[in-house]
Amino acid sequence: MLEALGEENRTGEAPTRPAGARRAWLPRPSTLGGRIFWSVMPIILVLWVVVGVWNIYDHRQLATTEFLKRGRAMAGNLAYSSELGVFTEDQQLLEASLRGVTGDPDVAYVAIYGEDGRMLTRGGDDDLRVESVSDALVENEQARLAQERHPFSKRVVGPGGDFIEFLAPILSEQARMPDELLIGSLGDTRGQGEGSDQRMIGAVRLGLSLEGLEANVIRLMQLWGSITVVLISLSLIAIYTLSRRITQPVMRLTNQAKQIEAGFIDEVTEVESRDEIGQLAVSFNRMAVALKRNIDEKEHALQRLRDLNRTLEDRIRQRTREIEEQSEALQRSLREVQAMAEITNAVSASLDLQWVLDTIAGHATDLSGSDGCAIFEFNAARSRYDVVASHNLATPFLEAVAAVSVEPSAAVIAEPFQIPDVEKSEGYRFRDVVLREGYRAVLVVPMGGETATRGAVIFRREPGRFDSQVVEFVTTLANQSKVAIDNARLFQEVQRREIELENASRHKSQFLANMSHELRTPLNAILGYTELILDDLYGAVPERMREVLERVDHNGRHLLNLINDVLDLSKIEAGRLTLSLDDYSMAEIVRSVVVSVETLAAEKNLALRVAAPADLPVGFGDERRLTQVLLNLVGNAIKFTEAGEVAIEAVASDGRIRVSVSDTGPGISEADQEEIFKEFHQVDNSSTRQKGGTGLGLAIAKRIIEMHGGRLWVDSAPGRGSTFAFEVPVRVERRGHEQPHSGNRGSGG
Amino acid sequence: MSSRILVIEDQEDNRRIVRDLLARAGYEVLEAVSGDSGVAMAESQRPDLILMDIQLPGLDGYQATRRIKANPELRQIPIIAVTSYALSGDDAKALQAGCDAYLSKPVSPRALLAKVREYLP
Repeated sequence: MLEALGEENRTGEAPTRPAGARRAWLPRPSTLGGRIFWSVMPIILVLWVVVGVWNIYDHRQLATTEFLKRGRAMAGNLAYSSELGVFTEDQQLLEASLRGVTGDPDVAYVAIYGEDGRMLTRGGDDDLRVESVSDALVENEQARLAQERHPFSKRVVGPGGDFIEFLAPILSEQARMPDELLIGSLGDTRGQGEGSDQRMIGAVRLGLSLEGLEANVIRLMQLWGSITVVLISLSLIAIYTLSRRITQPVMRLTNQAKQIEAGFIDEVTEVESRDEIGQLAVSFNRMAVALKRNIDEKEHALQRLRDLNRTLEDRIRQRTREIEEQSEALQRSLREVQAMAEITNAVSASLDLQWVLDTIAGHATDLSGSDGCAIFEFNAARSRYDVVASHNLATPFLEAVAAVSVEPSAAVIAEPFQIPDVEKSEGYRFRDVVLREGYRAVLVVPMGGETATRGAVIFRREPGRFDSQVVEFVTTLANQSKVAIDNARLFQEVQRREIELENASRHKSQFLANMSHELRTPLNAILGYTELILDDLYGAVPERMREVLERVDHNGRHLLNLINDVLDLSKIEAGRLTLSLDDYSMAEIVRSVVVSVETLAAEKNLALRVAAPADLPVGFGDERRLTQVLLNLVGNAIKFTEAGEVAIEAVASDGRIRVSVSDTGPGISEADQEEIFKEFHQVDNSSTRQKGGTGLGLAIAKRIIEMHGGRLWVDSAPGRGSTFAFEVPVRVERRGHEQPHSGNRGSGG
Repeated sequence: MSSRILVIEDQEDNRRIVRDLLARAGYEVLEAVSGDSGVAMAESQRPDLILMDIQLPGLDGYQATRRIKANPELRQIPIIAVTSYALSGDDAKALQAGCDAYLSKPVSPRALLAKVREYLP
């Protein structure tokens, strides 16, 4: 904020003091001549004016002094010459005396007074001026003359102009003055000095006009002025000449510099003087010469470089051409490789043979630079070629080709052949058909072996041989295509078989499911009746018969278990077994399993150790299926253990519940551990029957656990007992496990 | 007067086993071979208990149970379903349809009798 204000102050101040204001009244010289003029001229002018003023003043002073001296002298002379006239009061004498002075142009007026101060006569060149002269001497004038007895002057400003008035006494020697009365009357005013022996008998008044003097001064000033003008003009000429002498070489140098700037270095300035400017010009010339030499050298080097470049460019152009040719060849190979890759892709991506063949035909056309391609196969039944795929060929043309009869002996294409100009090939079977369509050149390559009746044919409108590269490429293409076609056919066959197999498998599962259901119905009746008989419902049963009936019952139940297991397994395989998910307690499952096997364990004198904490988390899954799995594991453990104990343990950790069943039985070898999870595979088939197992329980258990998103495994070694364990998520994901499960065989796709 | 039990079962042998078992135990046994005839007999005879096979031709056990339970006059008759076998999942569906209890095949006569006696002592 403060900074912003400061900024404003600065900008606000600016207009009050513009930068150029100080220099506005003084021209700013831009040339050297101007600069010399402006630095010399004021000094000369000031000096000249000072000298002039002083000179005029001095002259005027001198002239004034001279003027006064002359005036006094004239007045004194007039007084002297008029002495007799006054003494005698002779008018003629007086006027004669006056005439002596009135001829002077400076004399404005003149008057002669008598002893009593009365004017005796007067004169002058102008009456007006004379009129201004008083008729009598003023008293103080008379007194001053009487006392000083010398002429004196005073300035008078009258109506006729400015004058210097001179008053002079008219003195007379004593000897000439017999009239004592007159002397007595004058004696009052005379002084005690050297003239005491003289008597003042009158006075002279002489008025000199200042006009002459002033005119003289003005003339002088005019002269000075004229001289000044001449002097300044001369100065200007001198300064101009001088500055030109300085600036002209500089200008020439400037011009040359401009020339050099424009690229004309050859110009050399003429050196006229030996002063600093001359030296500058010499240096400048030297520099220009050096520069020229330098530039010439560079020019030369540049020229050499250009020549070199041209050579290099030629070589580069040549190399580029070579590289382009190579690259073209490379690109061609690349296109071929790409085409092969695409065909291979087409074969592996699609089982559609037609599409594969169309792709081949397309690439063969593009890469051979021809106008169309067909893949054909000999049809022995029709004695004609069938066109199985084509590219860029018209249907009527293809139909026409397929209509040309070919005898089986001529159908085999042993090796590639070409017809450079169909028009000249009279014997060619398809000549007319091909020519009608406007094709002139034909290349045929077999597909597969020397006895091939299948091949590719490419057509070109331009007559001429197909070059070896094209023949080679199309042959390669055809050979690869043959493999591709065979593969595709094989693949199709395999896929068909697989689909059949899958269907068969599904039918088998369905059949097993149906069959086991059908088997159970009569079996249920057998078991029911047997039980009723054993319960003496139909009368007392003899002991031996009872024993046999019990075996019937036992075997019937085994058969039922087998059937049930087969049904389960077939349901799983057919993907029809679904889990019914709900909350369950694993502790409860363990307890219910223990209850159902307690008797069995007790019969074999096996200890049942159970560790299932009541605080196991509430699980979410198929309780009945999990019970089935655990029952199977515990049942097996008891079945295969002759002595010792069976331990059931359930723990929960990391969101999973793990249940393990350990026994002190014979143990299972590593090789057998894989086998036991397979259907109808037990370690020893004889033992299976002996132990009463179906051989399906573990396989089913494993599937059920896997459907829960868990796993079932065994940890065992011969002689060390076995531990079967499974682990399921505490909460089974609802999605994916309630839906039909596809079993162990993927449907492929 | 002895309690009357309606057995709805299409299998001849199964009917006979149940009949032999229950008659011996002192119950009067009524028999029906299909869902439709079973429902009709339940309405006309008003048995004290019904043993309902689930897999029946025509109207199956679930549908028959729903019809009987939909009739206010028959609603209190206990129905014991006989499902195909323990792990089929039929039992839950049977209870959902309105059955009071279920037995899984293979039905042991002893277990059947025990279950019947829970309802008809």
